[in-house]
Amino acid sequence: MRKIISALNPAKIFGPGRQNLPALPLFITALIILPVVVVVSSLLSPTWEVWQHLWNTLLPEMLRNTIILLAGVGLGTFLLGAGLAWLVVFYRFPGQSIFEWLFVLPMAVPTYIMGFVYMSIFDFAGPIQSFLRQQFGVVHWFPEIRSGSGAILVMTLALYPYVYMLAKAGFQGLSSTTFEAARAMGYGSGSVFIRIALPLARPAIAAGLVLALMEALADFATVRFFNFPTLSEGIIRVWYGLMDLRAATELAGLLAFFAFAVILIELTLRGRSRYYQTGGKAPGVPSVELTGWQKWAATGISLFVVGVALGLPIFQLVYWSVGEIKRMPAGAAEVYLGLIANSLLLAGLAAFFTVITALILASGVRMNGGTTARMLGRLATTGYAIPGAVIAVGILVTVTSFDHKLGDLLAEWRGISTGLILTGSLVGLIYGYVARFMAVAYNSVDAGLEKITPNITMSARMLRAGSWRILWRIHLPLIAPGIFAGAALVFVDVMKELPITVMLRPFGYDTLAVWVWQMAAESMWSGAAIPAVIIVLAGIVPIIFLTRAAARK
Amino acid sequence: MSGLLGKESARVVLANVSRFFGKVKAVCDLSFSIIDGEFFSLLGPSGCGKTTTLRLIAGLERPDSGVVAIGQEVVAGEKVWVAPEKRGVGIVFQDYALFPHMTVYQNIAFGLKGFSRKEIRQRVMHILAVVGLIGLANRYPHELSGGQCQRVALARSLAPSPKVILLDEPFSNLDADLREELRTETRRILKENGTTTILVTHDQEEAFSLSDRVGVLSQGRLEQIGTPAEVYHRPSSRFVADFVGKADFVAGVVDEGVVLSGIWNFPVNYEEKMAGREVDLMIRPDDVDFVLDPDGNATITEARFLGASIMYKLQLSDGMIIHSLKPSTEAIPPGAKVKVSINPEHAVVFSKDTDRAG
Repeated sequence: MRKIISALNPAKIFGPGRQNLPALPLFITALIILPVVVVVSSLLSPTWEVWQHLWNTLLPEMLRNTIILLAGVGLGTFLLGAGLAWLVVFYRFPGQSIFEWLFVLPMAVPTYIMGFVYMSIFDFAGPIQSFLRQQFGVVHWFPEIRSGSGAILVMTLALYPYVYMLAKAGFQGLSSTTFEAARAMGYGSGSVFIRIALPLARPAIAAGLVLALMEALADFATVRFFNFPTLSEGIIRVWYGLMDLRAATELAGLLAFFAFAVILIELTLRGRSRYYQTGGKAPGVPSVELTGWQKWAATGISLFVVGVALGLPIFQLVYWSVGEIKRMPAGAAEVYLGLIANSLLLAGLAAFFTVITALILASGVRMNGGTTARMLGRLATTGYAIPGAVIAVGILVTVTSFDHKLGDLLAEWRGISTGLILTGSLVGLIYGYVARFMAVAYNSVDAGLEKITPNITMSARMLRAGSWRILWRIHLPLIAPGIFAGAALVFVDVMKELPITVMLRPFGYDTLAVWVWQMAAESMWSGAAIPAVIIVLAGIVPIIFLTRAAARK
Repeated sequence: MSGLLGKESARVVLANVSRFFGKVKAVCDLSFSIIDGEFFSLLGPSGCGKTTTLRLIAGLERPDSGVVAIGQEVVAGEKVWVAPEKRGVGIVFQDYALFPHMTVYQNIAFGLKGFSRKEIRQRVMHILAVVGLIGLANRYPHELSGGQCQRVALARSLAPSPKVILLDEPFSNLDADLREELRTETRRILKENGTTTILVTHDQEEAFSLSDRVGVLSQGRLEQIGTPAEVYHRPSSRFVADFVGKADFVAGVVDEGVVLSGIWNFPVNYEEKMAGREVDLMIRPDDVDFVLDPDGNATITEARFLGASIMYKLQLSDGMIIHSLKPSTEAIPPGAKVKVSINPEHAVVFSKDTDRAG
């Protein structure tokens, strides 16, 4: 298969047939999946006392909550995400084109930020309940926000954009002739949606649901705010509170099992169905112009969703931030600047190393082109489906044992005691980010490599360009956008990442996300506001960038 | 025009060239030579080895055995290997392979190394004028139509004044009208430049209308080489006869310079060894004529309207099927009785037991 050729070495094209799988990609993949393998294999040799203890204390509640959370967020994001996608794709109403992309923006608000904002507003001491008490005295009927339903509601608001985006793409990819055929057979627009559009878009919706569920599964901060402990929360609690790595590993194994189950559900939902659109000639579905009360109802619903999922949290955060800036105590600015510097450094380092690794991996896979190589690529990118806590625990186990061995070795040789070198250093943390966000960088870089077809390289050669000229003038410019896009996405993901950062950071190394979490956990809302605003702003930039790029296609 | 591209003698010679991919013989013992300034086509069905042959000439593949020479220089042989970029050969791919991040101007200038800025500008502008794209210099490939992309690809490969230019099915991604226009245009440009051209195509009409000579390939072997008329009228094998156009085969026996075949006897070039042998006679539909005749020796069973002409399917009184191509000025309905006459001049004799022409 001389299908697509390496970005880095044009001379390889002329080598005899397929390249051997280079050792480096193999090594990288092994390193990336090592943490997950360590955690999962711990399930094979369980420590029964640990399980016994867990079962008698935290485990039943955590399991129950995890399942309820997945079911609730799954249903919520499906209804909201697919429903809104249906609204904007199949109908036209005032403001529809603006809402079409406003609906995506809540994705920039991490669940824990959405969580603490809602907590503060609807909690007993929050403005809503205070207002009600002022008006009507003691209010008993107000639902308890610190509950499973509260967590599900908040996560649905933060995570529905995943389902929305993929469902929208799924609906838009359908060809109009399919609908016209159904209409011609006497189906109304409602039943066309239920019987044609929804089933056809099922693979896309399933993919979106999985992304949302993965986020819900990985979250530990929001469920802690809402007093609804899940497995992720349990891992952090066991590690942070009890420093019990053994129990944390066992729980992480269980959490990884949940992640695999979610992937399995997606595969089942997709089934064997691969929906090919004969379209191309007739792409795009027919949309109906809404009239009368319907059109204002559509606009009203859209306004409400955007207000609740975006307007309210942003307004509240900005309100707090302004207040915070007005009465900032001396030295606070330095603290914030320090947080920003730490976050930027971490995100920058992570983006750099992830993209470099992805480039080596993707070009190695493409150079080889075989089934094994593609499997390697697939394997290295599974980190995105694995909750951060699992990866963090896996790295803790791996790196600590490596550190101990290295320490022993040095002690024997030179008689020096080094302590633990890697554990709790930036190295372990970056390792975690690379393993977790490899998929993001890999897909972007690979999309860049895809542009370099063999014919492009050969054309350049036939025009008398040497290897360097080809690399410099053709290959690098072609993959540069993919590299930058991948780096930007990893950067933003790391800015808001919490579980890996919390578990692997050097002692006392605070980032924006860690600060938000700690402040919010202490109900110091306004103290969390400024870092939260920065995280949200950083998240909005690539969303605008990506939706523009998608629109151009 | 002749000043733009090289004047030095350029010919392409392949001698006993073979290229295997594992067990697959992509090209097998191929020998032919192409004359300076010639427009030559390699014609064959997909998988016949024509693209591999092109890539062997370009230097994108290395032969397992045999010699490739360009001009007076051996570029690939047992101990010789000249890298593709040193062969002075230009290529246009089926997908054009334009550099998507460069403008039309930059694409064309890419191959012009070692010239001053002013010279590059002059050459690019000149070549843009030649292909008729003068206003599009600053466009990017994604802003061009398919036909424009094809012209840019041609211009890009012509810019460094290659001695030989290779075209790998460059018209197959275009609409029918545009394809016709660009074929003529491309031939005119290349002929005016005096560039030796090798075109790879599976479309016999394309090969015939453009080429000075055509080489027909099948399963990695050269079946026949000759002018379009030779290949069409005097095919050297049943494969060529079938591939380059519609052909009917009429069974008969050779007798004293005449093929006796049911209703007709055809005079053919007499060969001693053929005497008494059973043969098949290849007859092209354009050599078959008929007139309406109630007492005729054939019936029209089908008439397919092709625009300028009509393809008739005739059943002869002895049951044989034969086709006839006639202008559509006169349309004769199926079922009519006709009297068939065959022009024997282009009939080709194939012996029964081999595929080769006798």
